[in-house]
Amino acid sequence: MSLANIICREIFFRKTNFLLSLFAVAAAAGVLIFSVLMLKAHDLKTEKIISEKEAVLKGKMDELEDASRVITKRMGFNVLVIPRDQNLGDLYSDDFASKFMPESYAQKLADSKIITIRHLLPSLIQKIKWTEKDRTVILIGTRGEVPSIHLDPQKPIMDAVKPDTAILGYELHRSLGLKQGDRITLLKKDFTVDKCFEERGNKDDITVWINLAEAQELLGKKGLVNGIMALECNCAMGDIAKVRQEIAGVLPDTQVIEFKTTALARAEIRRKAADTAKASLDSEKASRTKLRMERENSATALVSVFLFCAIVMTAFLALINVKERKMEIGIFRALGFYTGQIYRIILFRAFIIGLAGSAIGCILGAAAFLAIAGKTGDIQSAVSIMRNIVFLGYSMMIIVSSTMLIVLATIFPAHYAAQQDPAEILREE
Amino acid sequence: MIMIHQSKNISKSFSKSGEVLKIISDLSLEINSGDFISVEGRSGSGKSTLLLMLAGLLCPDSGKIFFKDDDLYSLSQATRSLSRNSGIGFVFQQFHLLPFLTVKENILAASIPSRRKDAGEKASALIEKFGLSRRATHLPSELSVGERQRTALARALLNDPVLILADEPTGNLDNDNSETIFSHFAEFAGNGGAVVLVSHDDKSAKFAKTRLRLADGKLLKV
Repeated sequence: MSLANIICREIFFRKTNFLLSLFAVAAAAGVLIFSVLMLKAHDLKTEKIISEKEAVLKGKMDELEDASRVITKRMGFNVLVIPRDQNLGDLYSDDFASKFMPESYAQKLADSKIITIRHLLPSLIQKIKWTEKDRTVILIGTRGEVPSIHLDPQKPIMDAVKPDTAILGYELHRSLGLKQGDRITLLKKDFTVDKCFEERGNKDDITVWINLAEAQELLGKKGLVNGIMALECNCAMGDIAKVRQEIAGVLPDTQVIEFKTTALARAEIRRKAADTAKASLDSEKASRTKLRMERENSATALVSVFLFCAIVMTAFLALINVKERKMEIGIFRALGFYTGQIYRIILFRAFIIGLAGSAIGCILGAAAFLAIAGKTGDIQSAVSIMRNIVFLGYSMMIIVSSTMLIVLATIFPAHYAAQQDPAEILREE
Repeated sequence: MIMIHQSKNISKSFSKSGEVLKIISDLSLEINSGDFISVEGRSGSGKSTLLLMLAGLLCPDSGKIFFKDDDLYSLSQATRSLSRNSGIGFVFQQFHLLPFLTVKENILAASIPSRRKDAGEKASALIEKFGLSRRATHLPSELSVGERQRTALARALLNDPVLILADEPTGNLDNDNSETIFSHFAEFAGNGGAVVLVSHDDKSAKFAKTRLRLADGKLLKV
């Protein structure tokens, strides 16, 4: 005969009290493990969604990159050929060269076997005072594209300006009230407005485009240009050094700079696409995290209420049990049981309730989780969660902590029992 | 004759509704092996209080109680409990059997504090002796009153005590059962034990060697 026998016998004798306590603990532990498993399932689902979305986005990004490469490849590079002695600082501040070179260089390039450059546009650009209209303008003389005999004929990227005509930038025609067909006088020469540009929001808005030969004559630069633009250079690898090297081979007293390149645009497109993809992923993650937090908060509130009720109920039932057993405690003491043994009788009973109740709760909670997973068709993930350490680990944690809490909650009833005066109990008989 | 138990000038009072009731007053009692003492007295005279004090369950306000040479109330609670468990058997009018234990388990419950190893055999022997063999696995609720009291007596004797304190043990029994209980007490005392019996039952006079009356907190020879 041992204390354990006495405790077990008493439990079987007073089943209702024991079962009620067991139910309270099982309910709390069940809700707790159910919440933990549901949150874990949510985490796994989040990981799955994010990883699927990442895979889809990666595929889309690859497609986008391929497409942008193809599109921007056709756009090529823009380069500007300028005299070798041109100071780049002056060039970048004025947007045109102050030094000049023969117009024939354009033809020389066109006649060369270089295939990486195309659409050659020789131009003479200078900032001048339009004395007739009392304003400063940028005069651009252009002869249109110089055809290359080595490349497949393509539609010219820019047509030549017809003699005696001028094309006006937005700011000029807007402020002067000019329109196509109007007559203007520029540097004492008459022109017909052939075209008015739309607003571009840059220096182009104060440009006057005329025929190159007429510009050379007006500016006193006959046979000279200060830049040859090569637009949409075909360089698949985006390697400007190769273009420079080839041009230097043909025109050694020139230098080449890259301008208004599409390579940057290409990178920008990719970066923007990547940013958009990342933002989309981040948004999904944030949404899932928010949802998880909401679920976690609800679960925490629910579990706290259940746990609190379970502890209070168990302690209350233990107190009822102890009061009901007042005479038994008197008998135990009369038989020679000491206070520590009375504590053990009450607390070991609480230990059994905590242990068995939380174990039953964990099993029921897991069963409920599997049942719900079965209904939502996600049984595989649920089984996988159950199989891994999560269920066992959390169950152990819940069983240990619940048992400890229940034992702690029963300390007061146990103390009450142990402090009962046996003489008083037996005298009350 | 060996002195088993000695009470020296013990007193006990209780407060009830602001009034102090002196139940035991400067009482001395010596209990030796072989004694069968019957204590009589009217209701409320302090008989049960005296037994509880002798058992080490109720500390007197003054005086000392010695059991086996130990000053009972100077011992720690745990030691006093163990001393009571191994040396004193208690029998109550209401039997005070644990309702969820069988006859045998009730008897064996007394062996838990001392962890007596031969408790099983001893319990079986007592069950046999008190004619409870067919009831060994029954719960108290399934027993007759006589069987319950015999079970209580067997439990009191399990640890081979030297002293049995019995509080109205035959109060709920018929004549035959009362006689049986008294004869077991007499046998116990005859075998070198000591019995202090509180009883209103006139039959106790037939068995008790010493008859005392508790009146005004003092013990008087009848």
